[in-house]
Parts: sequence; C-alpha cells; structure tokens
Amino acid sequence: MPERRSDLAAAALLALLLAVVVSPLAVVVAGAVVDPALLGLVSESWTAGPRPNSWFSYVLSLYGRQLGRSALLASVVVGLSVVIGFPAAYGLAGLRGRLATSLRIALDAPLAIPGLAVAIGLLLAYPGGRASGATLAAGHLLYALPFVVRAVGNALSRGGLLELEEAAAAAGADRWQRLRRIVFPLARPGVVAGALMAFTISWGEFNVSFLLATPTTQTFPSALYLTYTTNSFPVAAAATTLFLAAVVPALWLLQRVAAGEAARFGEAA
Amino acid sequence: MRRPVAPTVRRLIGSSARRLIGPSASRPVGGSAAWTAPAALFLFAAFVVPGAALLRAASRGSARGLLAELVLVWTRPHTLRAFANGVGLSAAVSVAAMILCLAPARLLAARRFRGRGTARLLLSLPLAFSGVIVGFLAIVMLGRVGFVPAVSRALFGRAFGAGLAYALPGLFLAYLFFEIPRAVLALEAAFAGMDPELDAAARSLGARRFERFRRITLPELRPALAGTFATTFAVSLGSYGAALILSRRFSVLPVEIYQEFTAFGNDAGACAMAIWLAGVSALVSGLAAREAARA
Amino acid sequence: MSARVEIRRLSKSFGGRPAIRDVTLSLEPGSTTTLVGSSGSGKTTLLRCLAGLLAPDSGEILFDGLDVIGVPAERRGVGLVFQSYALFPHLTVEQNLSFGLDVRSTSPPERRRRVEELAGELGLTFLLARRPSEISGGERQRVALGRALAYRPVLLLLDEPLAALDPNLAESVRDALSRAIALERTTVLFVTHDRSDALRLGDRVALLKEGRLEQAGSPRELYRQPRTEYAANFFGAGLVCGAVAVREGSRAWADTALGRIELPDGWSGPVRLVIRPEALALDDDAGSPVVVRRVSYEGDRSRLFFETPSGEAAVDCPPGRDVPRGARVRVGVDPSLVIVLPPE
Repeated sequence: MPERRSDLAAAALLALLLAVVVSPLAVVVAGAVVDPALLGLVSESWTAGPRPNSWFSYVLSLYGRQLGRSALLASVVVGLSVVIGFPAAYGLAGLRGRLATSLRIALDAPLAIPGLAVAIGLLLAYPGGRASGATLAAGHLLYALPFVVRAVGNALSRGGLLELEEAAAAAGADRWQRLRRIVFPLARPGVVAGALMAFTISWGEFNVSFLLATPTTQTFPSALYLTYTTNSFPVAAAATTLFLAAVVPALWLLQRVAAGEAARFGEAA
Repeated sequence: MRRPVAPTVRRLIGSSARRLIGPSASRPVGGSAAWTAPAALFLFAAFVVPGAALLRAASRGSARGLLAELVLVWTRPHTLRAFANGVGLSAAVSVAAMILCLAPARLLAARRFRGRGTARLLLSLPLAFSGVIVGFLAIVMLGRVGFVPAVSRALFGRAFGAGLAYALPGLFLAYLFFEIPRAVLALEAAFAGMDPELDAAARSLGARRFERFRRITLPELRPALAGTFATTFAVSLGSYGAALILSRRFSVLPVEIYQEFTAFGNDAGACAMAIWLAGVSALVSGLAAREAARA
Repeated sequence: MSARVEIRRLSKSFGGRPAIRDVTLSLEPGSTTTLVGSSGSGKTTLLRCLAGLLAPDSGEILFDGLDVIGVPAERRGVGLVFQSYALFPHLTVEQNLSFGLDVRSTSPPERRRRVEELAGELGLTFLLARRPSEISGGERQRVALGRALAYRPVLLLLDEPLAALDPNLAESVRDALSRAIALERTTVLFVTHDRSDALRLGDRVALLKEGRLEQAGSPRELYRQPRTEYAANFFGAGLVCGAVAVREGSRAWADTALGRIELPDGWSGPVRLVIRPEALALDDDAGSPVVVRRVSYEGDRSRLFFETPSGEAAVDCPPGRDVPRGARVRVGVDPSLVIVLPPE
C-alpha cells in the first residue's frame, strides 16, 4: 500500500514536470496558428507589423536561408560524427587500461567546457575558418562526438562485441568480413541513435554558433535570437514551431531506436 | 622433426602464413588504438589547439603575463558579480532539478504504464533547446503579457506572475526547464541499472522505507547523482541564451565574455574570463567524475 | 578432415602471472580429449591459444605437423563453441549455422545441404528461421555446436558447453553433443570443470593444475591410476593416509587404521594410500570397528562418514540398510581399489 502511495506522489510530480515542459510549447505552437489575442496575449508590440496569410511562409521568407544552413550544417555534423565516432567507439571497445581511460576522458572533455570558451578558442586558432563555416562545424562536432561514441560503444558492448567477433574469427571470418557481418550490424542501432543525437545537438546549438557565425554562416538558433528581439510574437512563435518540427521527430525516432534495441537484446543471453 | 603436412591443413592455413602474419597479433578482435586516431586528431585540432590559443591570447593582452591577467579580471566588480551569479544559479538549478526529478525518474524506470514513452519523449524535448528558446518560452509564459498572468486574470481577476520572467525567479525557472530532461534521463538510467533485489534484500532484513532510501538507494545513486550534477552544472554555467534574452540586470559570465570580446574588443580580458569559466566547469566535472568513478 | 594436434611446451602468462606453464599434450586425430581442472587452472587459456585468440609466450602448436602459432584464428579452420554460445543476435539460426560456410564462399547448394544436414542431426530443422533470442538455452547450445561444425573443422574446441545449462537439460544436451561429435569424427578438445563429464566424454583426459599438466591418459587410467594425490582426489576424494609398505617375498602390505591392506607388487618403504568410499564396504564379520559420525542419504545409497586417525573417511551403505548416526559398524577394505602413491 505505501508503494502505491509513493507511486502516486511520483506520478503527480511527473505530471507537474510534463506540464512545465509542454505548456509553453503548446502556447507557442498555438500562437503561430491562431490569433495571439485568443490566448490572452494582447500587446501593442506583439501584434504590430505585417499580417501575412501564414506566419510560417513569412518566417521562411525571412529566415529560410538560416533554416537551410542549419539543416546543411546538421547533416555535415551527423556525417562527420559517425565517420569519426564509429571507429573511435570500435577502437575503444578493443582497448583496456590507461590508454582507453584517457581516450574516453579526452572525448568527453568538451562537454565540460562552455561553448563560448570553445568558440573563442576556435576563432583565435583558426581565424580563416569562420567564413567557410569550418570552425562552426568543428564546434558542433566537439559536442556531438561524445554522444555518438557513447551510443555506438553501448550498442557494441551490449551485443557482446568481443566474444561475437572471436566467434566469427574462429568460424573463419577475416577482419573485413567480421566488420561487415558482425561489427556493422551490431553497431547499427548505436550509429542511428548517435546520429539522431548529433542532429539534435547541432540543430539547437547556440553557445558556439552565436559567436562563430558570420552573417553568411548564421544558423537558425541565431535567427531565433534575432526574431525574439526584433519580430512580433506570431513570427517568433512560427519560427519556434518550425524549429520544433525538426526536433520532435528526431527525438521520437531516437526513442524508437532505443526501444527496438532493448527488445532485440532483451532476451538474448 | 616435422611430420609431413596434411594437405587439408596446408590448404586451410597456407604454408607462408607464419612469415606473413608474424607471431605478434595478441588481440585478434576489437579495434586497436589506430581506430581512435581520427577522433584523437580531431580533438587535438579542434580542442587542444584552440585551448592553447586561448591561453596565448590571454597572456598576450598585457605585459604582465597570463597569471596577472587571470587575477586582474577579478578586479572588475561586474565580472565578479556575473561569475557569482552564474555559479550560484547553476548550482541551485542543478540541485533543484535533481530533487524534482528523482521520484519521476524512478517511476519511469521501475513501472510500466501507458503513456510512459510519450512522457519520456516530451520530457526530453528541451534537450535540443538552446537558451534563447527557453528565454522566449519564459517570456511567453511569465512575461508582462504572458500566458500565465493572462489566464490567472481571466480566472481570478489578478495577473499572477506578470513580468516574473525578467526577474531572478524567471531565470531560475528557465534554467530549470532545460535541466529537467538531463536530470530525468540520467537518473532514470541510474534507477534502471539498480538491482531490484537490493531493495528486496533490505526489506527482508527489516529496513523501513526511508531507511532503505537512505542506506541503499542513495548510496547506489551517488555516482549517478554526481554525474548528473556535473552535467547540469556545466550546461547551466555555459549557457547564456536565456540570460541574453531575459535579463539586463542579472548578467552571467558568458554574457560578459561575449560583450568583452565583441563590443569592447578586449580579447585578453575575454580570454582570461573564458579560461576561468572553462576551468571552473572542468573542475566541477572532474570532481564529479572522480566521485562517480569511486563507486 | 580431423587433425593431429600437438602442443609442445606451451606457456602463457598475463601480466607476469603464468596461466599455463610448459604444457605438452597431443590430441589424436578423431579422438575426444577432455581438458579438466578447477577454475583458474588455465583450461580456457590453453583452448584460446589453440583457437588462435591468444598468442602464447613460448612453445609450439602443430596441426598435422604444421606450426600454427602466428596464424590468425580465421585461418586455422578450428571450430569453437563458447560457454555463453556467442550466437550472432542479428542473424537467424540458419544464418548462424551457415556463417562459417558464407565466409568461405561455399557454393549455395552445398551450403544449403550442409545446413540441412546439421539441422537434422541437431534437431534444429523447425527453428531455422528463428533468432537466437527466440529459442531456449538448450537450443542455443545446439546452434552454437552446429555453427562450429558446419565447415568441418580440423579441430573442435568446446569451452564448458554444458556449464550454463541446468542439470536436467545438460543431461540431454550431453547426449546430443556426444552423438554429433561421434557423427562428425573430428578431433575434439572439450574443456570442463566437471569431473564426471571429463571421464564420460573423453577418449583421453588431461588434468590441469595451476597451469601445468598434472596427468593425461585414458579416463580409466586417470581414475584408477592417478599419479598424484591431487589427481586422485580430483576424480574421487578419499581418505589419504601415510603408511609403510612391508615386503615379504612376492607379497607386500601396509598396516593402516582400517587394518592390514595388501599392496600390489613392487612397493616397499613409506607410501601414501588413497582410500575412496568404493574401496570400502560394510563387513560385519572381518571389518575394523568404526563409529558413524554423519550420514548423508542419497537415495540409491547412504554415505556414512567416520573418523580415523588419518582423517575422515566414508563408506557407502546399501539402500536396504538403515544405519543411524552414532552407530558402530565394521568396515572392510577391498585392496584392489586402494590407490598407492609414493611418499611426498
């Protein structure tokens, strides 16, 4: 009986957290579609400005370029983080001892360093990298890579990589055959999860991007800053909704992948 | 004295195999250190070199050298205040997030109920939000014409929470907003990894509920709590979008650094402050990682 | 297809701690050798050296006379069954079985024929489309065996294949295992810590102790003529007592706490005797009197424990007779079943 009561209290707290997270998003999404006045949000400054048919097309006309740039940047970051992160995770899976520990710490280290410090460092070290967006991508990659390495590493160790690879070797598979037939399939859910994480991180990244982006490499989160400080509420709401439209499916997929992986290895010894 | 080699074995192995492969290969499976080379190279170029550039820039600013510059930043009262604000706010938010998320995380980990996946998905949404979005959401909800005051005026005739977003409580709530998913997910994983038999064993030994929590659950969770605190603290300390949007009076260190760097062109000062910011964040993370590893 | 395997003076240590030391052992083509020892005796290390998953520090491994050290695992043509089975979770039973054929680019009809043959032998025909997570522990065990046999290995290595199964299941899997091995006629090295499996399944038995080969020979030899006290006690614990063999003409005997025991010819001077329960029997007429301290009822018999000046000894009591604790009984010795060892 006391278990039931503590569960109820926890459920109430969970509901509260959900309300805190969901209600502002609901208001913003609603504000992009209906008249803000219907939500009780009536203000001179928020309702001023043009009144197009759809706030979304208006936002696209204003910030479409930043949106496209963010999508491109996120794809580059996803690609690079997998290309660098998968081998790193596979390498770490086979390593023991001090070297492995220091590599792990080094990979996680950027997570402990604020993005602005990283951005200033990148800017000072590679002043030429700003215009091409190379330092921007590098900054995003620093924060995405640890998650990819972790996701792939988890998938590999969860499947029992070393023993499976030994079994494959004993059965006659050479290194390339083992990679193709055992390691890749085993890593795949981790790669997908890591790629989705990398996308989410890059898509929302602001701390590094705000300083590193030039007007020609500005990303969507920086555009959001601009819209929050200069545009009316429906524009800001529509822009935020567009931002969410990419995040929600990515996080949903991430959860599906995690659940699928759990089901696949749940019963197997 | 070698026996004649059976043809099957000869065919399988190849007579020159030994010469080709050599007797070294001690670990035939798993990637080797070479596989981590791309990541190591990238980290060197994008993390170590910029770090060195930061140190160099800070030391170049004055004739007094790096250490003097690092001390000198503290002579400006607004820097000191912004630093204290950031550290205090981040620590308070991290602790609050952990306390708030403990019970819901246990529920998500231990119970199967309808809507569990949806709840987890919705709670994880703020993971992708930068500070500016959170700041905007705070204004939408608790601004001078925010949703909460509007609703409360309609219901109770009084506008509760109007303008709260621009004061310290609003900033606190905004930071809490994006620490919730980090705390919930990390603690859920920790609860999921806990052996349920431990609790059952403690129960069979006669421990009451609070005692089980204090003597079993809490010590088991210690590393996860340390890790969660490190993550949320580092994220809060480094985030400045919310402060940028919400507050003119309540500044945090990254905002100061940004202004120093872009508006005032004080590279050395900005770099010195950035080094402090990174140092404190790394120190807290390192301490927490040690705490987590000890268990 | 089966190879003669010779292991010569093989040594391997991990971080200065020796795991196997100077092991020399040969496996006859087509025979089954059980490698037995307590945990930490180096069984798995030796097996992994043979599989090519570990490089020994020194020594030679010859397959049909050809030194394979330095040859990677995938080119040794060895079949390996792991204790945890290590089935590929993303492949079906059929794909697991044919894995070794796939990587050898065997022709599809040949592959299909072999997989069907193995599935029939191992009773997996109706499970071919399942994944490892969808079959039982015993079935997984058989898939692991089939996967290792599919490409007709020159040597089959089994690492405690029955250890993860519950005893009832292990019994049936043990039968399937020995049938399949007999059918495939390959050289087999079977690693186990179970002494009865070692005796039952091996044509030859090799006993490891702390990385050294304690003794190798036929199961009967290891059981009846152990050369050391360790080997004697490993396969059947008994009372060990020191005695002095007295020789008179062609006869030899020793006086013990259980009376005078006739010894085989050739012994004289100090010896050690190992007296297992089966060497003793209740003998109400001529036996030595003892007091029963402890009774362990085992269904088909009860085992009676009693003290002697050299330590505790046990005798089996037939199921029809009920001897309570504290009873006085007389115990006789069958000298032909007493093991005689030289002094320490």
